[in-house]
Amino acid sequence: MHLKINHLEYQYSNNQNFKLEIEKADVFLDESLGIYGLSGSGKTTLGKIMGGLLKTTAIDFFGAEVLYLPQVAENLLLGTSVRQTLKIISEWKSRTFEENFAMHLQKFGLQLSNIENKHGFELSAGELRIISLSLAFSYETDILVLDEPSIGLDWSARIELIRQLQNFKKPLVLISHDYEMLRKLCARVWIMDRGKLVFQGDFYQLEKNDKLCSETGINFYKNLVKKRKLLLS
Amino acid sequence: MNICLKEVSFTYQNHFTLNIDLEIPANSWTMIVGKNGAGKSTLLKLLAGVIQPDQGTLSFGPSRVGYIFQNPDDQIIQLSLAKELAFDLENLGLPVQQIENKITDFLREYDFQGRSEQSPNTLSGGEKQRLALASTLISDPDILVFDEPTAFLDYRQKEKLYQKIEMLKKNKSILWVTHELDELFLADSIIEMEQGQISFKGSREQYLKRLSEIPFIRKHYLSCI
Repeated sequence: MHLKINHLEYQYSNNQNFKLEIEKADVFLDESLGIYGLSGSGKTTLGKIMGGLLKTTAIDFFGAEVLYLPQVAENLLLGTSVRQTLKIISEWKSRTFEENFAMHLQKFGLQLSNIENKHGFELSAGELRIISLSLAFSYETDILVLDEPSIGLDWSARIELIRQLQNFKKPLVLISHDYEMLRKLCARVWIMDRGKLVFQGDFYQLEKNDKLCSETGINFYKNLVKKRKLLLS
Repeated sequence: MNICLKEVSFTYQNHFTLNIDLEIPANSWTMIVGKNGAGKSTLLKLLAGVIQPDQGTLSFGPSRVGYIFQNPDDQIIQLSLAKELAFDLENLGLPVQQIENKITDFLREYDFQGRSEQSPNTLSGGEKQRLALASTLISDPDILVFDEPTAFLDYRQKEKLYQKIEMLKKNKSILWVTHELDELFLADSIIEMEQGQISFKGSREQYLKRLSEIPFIRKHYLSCI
């Protein structure tokens, strides 16, 4: 799988303060790609462009089907209940979709029979997140773009997410400020800053760049981990 | 004044019941942890008055509560950043000049300079959470009820918020739901919830000791970097 960007420019009609501008990027998605950056740097806009939710011709996946999973998981329930959402999706996906979905839920510690009749407002944010992730994992697509997949997950569900992503057979693009997760899962990383792609490389190269690590909060994260080790060991 | 929940119970559509008996000392920082679906957000909604208990009583004297919703989209209702920041202050009846000064200060402090007329709809997830925090803290509530207030924030904004709350906690009671292990170190005490009940209540040191003995935590949260 191959992703190519050429003269990408995108601006929202109702916001003159932000412009996404990527001159050139070329990456083979045989290994997972992580996209990291501060809030408002354009990560989600780029994810939506990858998923085809925002239109531009400057990005090319060479015919591969891309599924984008949005940051706010509630938006994913299509019907009034989990069961109805499953019914709607099953109409155009294979029969094994529901089976796969139930299996992924179970890995996260949720039983389909316990939640299938619940509506979105009866589920906690973490449960909605797990449902949306399980829907994405069961939906057979060529490339999966996940926007902040670890938000709202408890400690064990977050580790289960990392485990499932490690075993995921399709190319992944992970958009996140969860640096620890990106570092565990991605071979390549892009850093976004105020609408621009300011770094493309691996984590070894990135962490040699002290200025960038400091500006993007990576150094603060490292200090937190030091503290964690001290207090928990 | 202490926050007191006396034999409080609440049931959601026969699916889920919360039973809580709890006293939280004033001017302290309490972290609430627990698995997805344990009832953490329901407890916060009761404290914030968003839902009413079926039984039991809740008391915290004349204190004003500031509530941060889990999803910033549920919280932001105004059409510009300045209006969102003004909302609580206007409801409290503050003089116009004072409101304007405060808004100017908060726009600067939360990195929104020059964007007062921008629509919150155009903000990113992290920026929306930042705005929700700013527009809650601007009215200086006595009790802060925060539902995963840093979930959408980047590390730079987290650092800023931790410092700010560290200062505020001298004269405020803070209840904070988190899934971030690294945030536990900020708290004075920790409450763990499980299936609608409190499964642990104690000091930070006690809880961290408990956590450090769990092989799962040692394996996955100490073996990084």
